[in-house]
Amino acid sequence: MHLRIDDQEIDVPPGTTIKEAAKLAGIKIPGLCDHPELERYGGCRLCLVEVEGIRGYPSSCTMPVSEGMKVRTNTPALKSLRLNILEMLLSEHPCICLICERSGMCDEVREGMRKVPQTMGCRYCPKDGRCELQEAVTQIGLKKVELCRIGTEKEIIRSPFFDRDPNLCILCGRCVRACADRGVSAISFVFRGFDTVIGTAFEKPLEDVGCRFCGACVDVCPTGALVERANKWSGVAKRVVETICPYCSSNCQIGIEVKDDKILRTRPKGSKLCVRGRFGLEFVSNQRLTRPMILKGEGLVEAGWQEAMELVAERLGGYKGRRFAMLLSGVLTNEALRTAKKFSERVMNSRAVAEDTSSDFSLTEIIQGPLLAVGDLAETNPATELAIRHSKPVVISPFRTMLAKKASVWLRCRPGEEPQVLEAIAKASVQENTDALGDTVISAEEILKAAKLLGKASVVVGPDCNRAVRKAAENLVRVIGGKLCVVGRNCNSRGVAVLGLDQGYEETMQSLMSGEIAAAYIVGSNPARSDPELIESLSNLEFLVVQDLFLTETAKLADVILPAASFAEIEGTYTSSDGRMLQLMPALSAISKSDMQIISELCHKMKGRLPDDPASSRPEGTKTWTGKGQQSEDITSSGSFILVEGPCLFEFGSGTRTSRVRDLQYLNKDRYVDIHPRDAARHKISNGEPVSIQSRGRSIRGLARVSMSVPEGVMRICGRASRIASAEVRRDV
Amino acid sequence: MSPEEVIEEVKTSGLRGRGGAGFPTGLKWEFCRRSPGLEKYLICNADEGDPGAFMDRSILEGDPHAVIEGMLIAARAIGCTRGFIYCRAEYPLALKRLQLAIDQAEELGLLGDHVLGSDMSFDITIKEGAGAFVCGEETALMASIEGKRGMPRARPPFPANSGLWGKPTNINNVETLANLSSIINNGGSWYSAWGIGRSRGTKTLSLAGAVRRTGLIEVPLGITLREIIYGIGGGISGDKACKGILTGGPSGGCLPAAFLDLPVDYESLTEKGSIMGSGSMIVIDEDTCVVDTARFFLSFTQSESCGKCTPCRIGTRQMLASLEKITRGLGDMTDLVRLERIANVVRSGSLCGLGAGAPNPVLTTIKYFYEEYEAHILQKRCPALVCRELISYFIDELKCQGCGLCLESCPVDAISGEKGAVHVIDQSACIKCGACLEVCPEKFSAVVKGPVQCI
Amino acid sequence: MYEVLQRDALAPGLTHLRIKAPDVARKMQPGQFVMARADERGERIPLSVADWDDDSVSVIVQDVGVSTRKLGLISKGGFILNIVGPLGRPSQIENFGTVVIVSGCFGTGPGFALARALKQAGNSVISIVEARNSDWLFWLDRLDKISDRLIVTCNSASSGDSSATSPLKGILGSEKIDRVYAIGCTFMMMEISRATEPDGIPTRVSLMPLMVDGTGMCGACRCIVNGEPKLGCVDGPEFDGHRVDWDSLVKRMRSYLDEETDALDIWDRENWHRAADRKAYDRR
Repeated sequence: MHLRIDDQEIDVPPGTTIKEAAKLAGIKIPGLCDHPELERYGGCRLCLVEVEGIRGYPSSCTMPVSEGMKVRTNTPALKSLRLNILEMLLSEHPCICLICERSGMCDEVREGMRKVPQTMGCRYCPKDGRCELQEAVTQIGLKKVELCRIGTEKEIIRSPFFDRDPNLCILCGRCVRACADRGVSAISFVFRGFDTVIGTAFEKPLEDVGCRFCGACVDVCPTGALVERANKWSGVAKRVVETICPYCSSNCQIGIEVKDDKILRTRPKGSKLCVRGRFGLEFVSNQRLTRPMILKGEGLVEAGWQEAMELVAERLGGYKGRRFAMLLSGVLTNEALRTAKKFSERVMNSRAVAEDTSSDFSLTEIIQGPLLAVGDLAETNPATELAIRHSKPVVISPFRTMLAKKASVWLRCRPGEEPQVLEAIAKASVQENTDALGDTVISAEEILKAAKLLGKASVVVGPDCNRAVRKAAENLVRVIGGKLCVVGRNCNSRGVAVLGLDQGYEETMQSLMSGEIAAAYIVGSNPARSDPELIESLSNLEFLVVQDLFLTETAKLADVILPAASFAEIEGTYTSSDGRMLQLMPALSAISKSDMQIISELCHKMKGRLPDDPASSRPEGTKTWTGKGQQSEDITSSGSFILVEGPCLFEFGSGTRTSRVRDLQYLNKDRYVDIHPRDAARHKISNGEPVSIQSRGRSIRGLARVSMSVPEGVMRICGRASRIASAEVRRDV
Repeated sequence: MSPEEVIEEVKTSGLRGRGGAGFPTGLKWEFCRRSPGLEKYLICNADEGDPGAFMDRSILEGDPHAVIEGMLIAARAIGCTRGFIYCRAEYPLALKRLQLAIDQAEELGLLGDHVLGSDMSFDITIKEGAGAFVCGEETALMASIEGKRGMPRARPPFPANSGLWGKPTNINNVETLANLSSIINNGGSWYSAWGIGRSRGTKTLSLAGAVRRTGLIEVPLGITLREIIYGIGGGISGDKACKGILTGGPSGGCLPAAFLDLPVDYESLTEKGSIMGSGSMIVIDEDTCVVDTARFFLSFTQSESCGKCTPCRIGTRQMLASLEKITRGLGDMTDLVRLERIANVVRSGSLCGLGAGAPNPVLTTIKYFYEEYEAHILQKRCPALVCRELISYFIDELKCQGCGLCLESCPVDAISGEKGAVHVIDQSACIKCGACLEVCPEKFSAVVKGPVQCI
Repeated sequence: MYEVLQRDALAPGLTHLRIKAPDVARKMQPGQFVMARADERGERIPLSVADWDDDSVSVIVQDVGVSTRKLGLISKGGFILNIVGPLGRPSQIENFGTVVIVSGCFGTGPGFALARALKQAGNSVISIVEARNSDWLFWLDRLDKISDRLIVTCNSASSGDSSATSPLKGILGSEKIDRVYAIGCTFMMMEISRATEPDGIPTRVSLMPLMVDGTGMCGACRCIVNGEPKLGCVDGPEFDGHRVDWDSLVKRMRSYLDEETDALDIWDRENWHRAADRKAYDRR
């Protein structure tokens, strides 16, 4: 479409707003409520323009262009309107610094930046220098604020990770829209007119209204109303390093702001981060190991690299072959994984395994077609879930997850029934009728309805699903001619799969438990925390080397601990699920050597014989390893409830890193037990009450959270391993 | 009649939206008809939020069938499949009767899948309002029906193209719809025979205030204010002088008596700075303070502001603060200058009609009654003796006979005096309620209301 | 351990604490201060005393850093670890004639004590209280009772200047004032001193330099007054406003700004949820 803006004639695609068109023409119209990633709003009224033939002053951020439109953006009337409207905004927002003649030159007379309890002006605001309101004042040229403040001083609302200062809020509504965009809507406008504030339902804390602390609201806030608490006063970072989030396989790109060799904060870089990538990188500088440790008489003591490496080389040398295993994980870079594989196969004549896997699939491609999703992806891989949600997939889940809410068909099966549902769909897609589809609690009609939608569909299986689900998904995919997409748990799960390190994990674990393995080298994994049943076997090892960032539970059992550098300190690559090499860039100086470096040095030190065939044979053993993932017991027998332990957003994997992020620990301090309202009523349990659960011979205590997200007869708690078991519950008095 | 013929007839009638905006109804229907899509909605705006307005209420309670018939006609013309009546919850009788009328219509086959046996299907659902004046604004109303917060949104897109749940939607006011049955029965030209200029047909008005005869009236558009006030209304009660007339409710303006010969039609009223609005006409005499009236109307619109856009949210509050200062005798000329400045910004910069109309009472009173503002500010005097801080009640000692009636009636015991002796009002305790003035026997008329003695 | 007998949240960030400390209260005089420590890991900080009776002292704590924030969180029935006082030279109280006491923020507390004493000594007392906005005003009723005149001024949005200066200048221009006192933030005290200098009216200010021991040993509170070094804790805290080297005072007060900010950052990250458990302030 062709239009004229001020003195320029330009062509823009239909649907473009006047403000966007002006931007293309190089004209910057001021505005505070508009944001390229959010719905149009038109509330701040700073972007008003004059359009020939249209009465009044339309807002340019909402008005789409039309053919032959003539727009004026800077007439005297508009200038006056903008000055007045900005003055109104500033009458309710601390503005003394914005209009002070001494602005920016008051260092000598200011006693201190924080020598006042509330933000009184820009120099006292954490957003000084990066605030859009400041920019607007400069652009519009406001010099005087004659209107007096009428609103009262409001208290600052504190939450995990960030604070909200309602006195700085200009009610642009960006945060409300951002939260709605994520499908959460934890915050909204409360009250009306002049008394409007942004808040939660009934002034409840954010964590009680479903906020997932993704930080989308903080990212879009134009003023200092929403500010991260960490390094609040450290201003703008000079250096921003683009790298990859070290948590899940969504592989979100992040920008790490660095100042004085510290992580200041993280920002999304074209990605929709979750709480982990956005706020959860604190672990990089929390309780890090900096020096190797060796188990000597009195316990673990710090030692030098030389001593530690020589000890490892010497001792490990005596366990070459079947008595050794190397345990890795998908948090390691490809370089580290490759070096580890080389070490274990060529130097130790043995094997390296990781409990991690991922299929080869492209997220952007599969969301174009029909989708079936199993597993609680919103808790394990939030960014992936966001992408899938908008394609309206068919969802199999006993719980009302984020995906289930947006599903085109939600098959609400019982916990543990997922493989049967998948089988039923496979059958239905072949036979086109409802015969023999009624094994599960889902009606045959629903199964048929779902099957009809899933021709050549991609079947997405979350990392919290067990082998039975994966197998059933494989079968289904074969039948419907679709694609199997097993989503990796970790950032480099695909790297693990590509190198074949996911093969042989079960056998290795069996060997470990049977005692056949006598020495192990564990890198980037914390099995003592994620599978406490392994602690005994690990303790019985004759020699254990643990390489990690922290003194983990597994490290405490080791003979030698080697400290490694974190993802933020090294160069390296992760493999994305569609096979691309994602580059890590170092943001901080390394506290220690990288995993790759350490293993490489060990290789050189040991310079073992390089056999042609790496040894691997199935060990015999009595103890069986059923593997992680849902261990289903005979749940039809005892117990009035089924207890499901499932993944939780605020705890990742074994929880090693997330437990070293302070506010995530705060969010996890209460163990919530999700229970259906009718069950709660029957057992006389009310929301927030302490309860005690009896299951598998152990007692779990937590706080009841009455919720419709669980079906009747089922309780759900956060657990590191996905487990299903029968259980009883009662009020904890 | 075919749908197009219906629309033509309505266009011929010259019917314009009776809710206040005055948009030509036939044209509005045409836009919606032309919008692509099979699912279209029709909404009847029965929110009637103007304080004191009860024109729509009388129709909803007295003849709900007319509304349903109007909706059916509109639905046929536009091709709507579902209808909603958004009726304010403060009208419980209207809600009850509407539902009765709908049930009866369904029984008779006038609503449902096959209206009168034809292939047209139309049903009506009632949605209750929840006490927000702003939800009378069409986009806020639609948001409310969708279950969202009642905040208006920018247009375009217009409801005719994308309204309720993104579908083409047509919204009409109760009175507009109620007119349709007669228009179709008697023909559009019958309706347009009344009226003046581009304002054709009749309008219901609620005549209130200082006239002898108050109530609901239906008049042909183009009738002059004089005819309404003196002809229908019987003139000012007490034979006092007419000071002016407030039209259009809280979004309207105050027109001075000099405009008594102004015809009542959309264009004439807007040209003078007021609006037709929903049709409320409040006549004021010399005992009404226009500054206080402006403050009163502004306090209403300010409290009903949704808070979305800056000018309305903050501007109306600042205006109210200035006006309160002025009516309390604490204002100076800078307050008046600020008041006017902000009023113009609110008028030009607001997102919706609530904000755009809120300054009208202020701007028209400043324009036509500037001396009254000057009196409040420079002389600290309320010429109409209304603004509490600027008046005082005192007892004329020459007339007081000491009957004691005022002493008994005073709620704060501010009057003292012995039986038979002159009574005195303690000015520091007096709350200016006026009870003493009311009870003082007419033959004595000892209690006097006058300007405050000293500030 | 000193028990907190009363706690009032006066305004955002302003808390009134009445602490049981009979030995301290016994000898308290206007113009003096105490050194308080919240807990074992806390810093000693000086707090001007606002009121006292036989067995307790009242302080107004303004939340400007870790220590003051900790103190502000202590509830009624809670305890402060240490409190030492009375410290500093008491104000000189005699019948000067007509005195003006300008106070702002936390200074309104000690300002009240001073005004009361001066009134009892026979002075005619004019109190000026300034605040950023009306939410931060407190104890106006008490001041009103003991002052001959009370002027309350709030900042308008139009300038960053101290709002008390213009009413003060108005008073100076129209009546004979014998003494002016200024208690509150350093900038305000400096402005008031500058306003009274042309007429040479004796002006006393209550300085708050950084202090560590408070009894004259460490030297942290050194100020330059009349060209000479003085110790705020034993020579002051009250000084002649016209003789104070404001420049060096402010520079010294900013010495540890980065460390103070970091400390607050770290403490807040660990303890923010304790603050969230409290209602910010009770509306009076």
